[in-house]
Amino acid sequence: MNKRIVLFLALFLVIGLAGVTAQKITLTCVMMAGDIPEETQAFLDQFSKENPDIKIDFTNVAQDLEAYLQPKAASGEMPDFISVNGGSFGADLVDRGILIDLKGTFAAKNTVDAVKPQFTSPKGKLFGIAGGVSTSLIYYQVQAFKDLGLTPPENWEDFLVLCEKIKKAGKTAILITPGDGTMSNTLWSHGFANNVVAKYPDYVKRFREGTMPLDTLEFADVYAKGKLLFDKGYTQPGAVSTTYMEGNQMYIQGQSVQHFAGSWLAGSLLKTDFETGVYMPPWNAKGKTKIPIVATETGWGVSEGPHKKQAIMLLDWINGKGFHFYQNARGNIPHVKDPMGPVMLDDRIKTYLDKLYSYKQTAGLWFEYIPAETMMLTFQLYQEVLTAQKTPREAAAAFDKAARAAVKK
Amino acid sequence: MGLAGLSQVQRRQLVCFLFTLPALAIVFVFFLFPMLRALLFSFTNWDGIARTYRWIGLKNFQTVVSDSSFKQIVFNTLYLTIIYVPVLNVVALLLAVGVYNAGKAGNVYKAMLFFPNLLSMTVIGLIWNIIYRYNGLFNQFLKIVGLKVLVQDWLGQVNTVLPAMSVTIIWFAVGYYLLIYLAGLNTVPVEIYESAEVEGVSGWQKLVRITIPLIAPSITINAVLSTIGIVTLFDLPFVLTRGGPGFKSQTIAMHVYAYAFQQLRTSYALALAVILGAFAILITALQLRFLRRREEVIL
Amino acid sequence: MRSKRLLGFRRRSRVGVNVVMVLIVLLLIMPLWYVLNNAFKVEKEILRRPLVLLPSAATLDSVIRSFKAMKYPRVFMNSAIVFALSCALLISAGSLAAFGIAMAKSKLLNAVYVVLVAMITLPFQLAMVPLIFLLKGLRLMNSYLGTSLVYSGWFLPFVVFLYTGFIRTVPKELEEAGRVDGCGLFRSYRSIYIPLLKSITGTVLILRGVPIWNDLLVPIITISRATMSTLPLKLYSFIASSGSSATRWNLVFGSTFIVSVPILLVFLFLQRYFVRGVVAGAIKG
Repeated sequence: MNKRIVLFLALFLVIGLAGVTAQKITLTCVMMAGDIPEETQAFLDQFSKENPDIKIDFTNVAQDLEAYLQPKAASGEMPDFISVNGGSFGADLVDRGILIDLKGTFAAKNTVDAVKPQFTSPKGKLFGIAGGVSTSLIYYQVQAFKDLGLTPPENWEDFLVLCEKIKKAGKTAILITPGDGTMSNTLWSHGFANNVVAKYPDYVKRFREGTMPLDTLEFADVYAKGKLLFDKGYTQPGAVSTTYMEGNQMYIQGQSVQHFAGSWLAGSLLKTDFETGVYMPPWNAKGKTKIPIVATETGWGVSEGPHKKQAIMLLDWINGKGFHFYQNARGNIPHVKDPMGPVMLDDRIKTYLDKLYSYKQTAGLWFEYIPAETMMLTFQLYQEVLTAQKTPREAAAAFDKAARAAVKK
Repeated sequence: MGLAGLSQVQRRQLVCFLFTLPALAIVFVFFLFPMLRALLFSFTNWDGIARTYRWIGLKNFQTVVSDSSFKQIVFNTLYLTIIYVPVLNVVALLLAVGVYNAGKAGNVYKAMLFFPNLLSMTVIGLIWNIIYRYNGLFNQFLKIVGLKVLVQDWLGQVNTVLPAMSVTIIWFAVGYYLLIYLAGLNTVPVEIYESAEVEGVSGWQKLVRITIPLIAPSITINAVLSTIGIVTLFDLPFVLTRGGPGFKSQTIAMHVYAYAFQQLRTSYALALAVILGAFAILITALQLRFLRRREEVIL
Repeated sequence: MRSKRLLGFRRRSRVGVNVVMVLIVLLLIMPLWYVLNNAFKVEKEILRRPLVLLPSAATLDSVIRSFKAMKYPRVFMNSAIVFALSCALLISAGSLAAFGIAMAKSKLLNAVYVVLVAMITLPFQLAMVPLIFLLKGLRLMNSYLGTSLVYSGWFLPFVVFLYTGFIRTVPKELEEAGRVDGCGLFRSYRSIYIPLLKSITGTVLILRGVPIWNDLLVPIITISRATMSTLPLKLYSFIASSGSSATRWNLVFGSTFIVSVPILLVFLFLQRYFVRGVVAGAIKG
């Protein structure tokens, strides 16, 4: 029997070693392919088809991109081509020479200037190309609104009234996803935009310098608003543990009248069996102007390393000839000047965009300006507030402490 | 005897020592040495990347301990240790008794009870996340059996998340510990039970008065192993609840990872890891003392 | 288990015990049945009736798509190699060391043994961060050898503990006999003990091999290249995936199924050797 065990193990080894191969340039590629892993693999394969001597080794990271990349950065094992968010993590990496400055690449030239600041470091280096323009908005069932005689509200107070009407009709008013970090794209960011950015338009700079006052009533209210929706029963049952995937599923199945989600989901959320409309989240107080979100989507960066030339080729391709493969799969808002191919954008989104771009003051999404070290806190604190472990003010204080500590490093 | 005999003994000892070398080398290089470095660096401000660092004494520990979430994660880890270990062992032992008494079918039960242990934590986290969801299997089951009043958000509530997670862990681990208990049960000679039967001892008393004392070594091993397992638990809470809501299901082991890779604070991660290590050693030592003493008394 | 030992219960109540056990086992297995079931369902069925346990529309589609999307063959190979290499190291170094410790009448070696066993209680997290740098320095990141060495370092204490306990139960006469015949210590190890270690080795493979196959923590820190990814790591990137369209569910169940099946089969193959080994060794430690 002992011989059998040895044979067994040897067989494993042989099978394994038999699989090891080849000698082309292999680009290690770590991307947040989120909802479209198969399509991402497909367009990467397309690139390899057009460039036969470049193989792509693709790893899909679903969440916590920064947490995934940090140890790689620390030990010098960065993948050649990565997804990167606008914000301090990437800025830090490029200023340390781990990522390269992308100014001058074809991709950079083909990108609209509006999405460059979030991907520019304090030292002026462009560390990433945005993956698209993004925003978060409220998707809603058109028929349900008609049945209840509702129209999209313009401010927070009217929004509450609307939710109350939906609740009285026995339905879930709005879906939220505090189960994971995706809630930061919606509740948190819009709260922050309307409450805090209004008061501190130079918020990006303040975060970088650690002078952003967060232990304040305005910031606490960011959390309080979500708590209010939860306490009043406007959100779905079991909301606290609902995650991104679940929330989207629930809306598609018609289990809620409204869903607060990102524009990058338009591809699937607008294809529901029932008619879906969109409107701007009214997180502003009555009488105040909304500050909507215009932000960047997770984009791409290139690491300093032996394969950077090929990685830049991939970058230029995704933002050029290959762009439509990517855009059509996602259905998101393009960030490029010349899409070089057919763009798939729903009319409802086009209308929304026209309105969105008419606003003078906008804000970014959370990950574009808060310190990397506080990224997990946004939704963890929200969970604590929803489950009454902390009051909104305590949450604000905790976040304030962490944000300041992050800069002191 | 004489010179020839002495050197033979010495030669033997040398050879024996050489035999242990490969294992010792691997353990030292890839386990002990990194740990010692971790211990050392926990007293510095090394951030994992910079080339230089300073000695700062206990400052990392102070920061870690005074963090607002520290109390919660220690509580969680303690809660899991105190609730999970006894419950798991009682369940495993009872099931082992059941398998033992089930005759030929026992082998099938044994194998099937072990199946959950063969799954990856990612799989388990996923399955149980789906089960515990508000619209998931468990709530559906409750509705069917008429317990609709118990339907709730198991993973999203502060007072149900840890018990729910414990159930999942027990589901996973019970087969493993059952096997060890079963082996222990097999060492008890049948005659003891037969003579007890003759004297009219009841089934329950047989279990408590005879079986348990005689399988004391198995109990010790299982207690220690299950404690170590729960103290270092990372994969499951990471996948099942991500430590939520808030930090309500965050274990110390998870928090080390959080410090290192989410908050990017290597020195805090190391300090917390050292605290975790000390905690593990302390608990194990206490357990061993308590259980070994009882073993000696009984045997 | 050929014994008819009863723990004192009469044969009548054996039926009662069996009934209870069957119920418990069924309850325990239910989540697994749920996965097995949904892995072969058409996507719409999974969503529409996720809790109906009998597939009215069976298909291999989910499993096949998951297989392709996960790049299963390569990932399986990676897991297999790491498993084989780690087990090989653990078994060879572990049994050898245990033999040395059990055979020597040396206070030093006994002390070493105690220290080694004490290390079982130390949490991996303590070594985690410095290990990354160590591997990088030795150029062992993203390598089968590197990952296997990490597992070996971590689990050798426990493996040595198991082997030592077992070897100590082998009657000394066996070894004495060998010595009389002029066997050197190593020869004695090779020809006498190795055959005896079969059952305990089966135990080791199950107790440590299975956790290695299913482990997530070590690959997360030692592997960054997709081509080197192991099954648990690959599955993690899949299921944590923010899938919005309905198609993801079938990938989730399909991939869960294909990741879990190999180890279940291997267990069925090895499980006969397990109880024998545990009886002999582990408890006496």
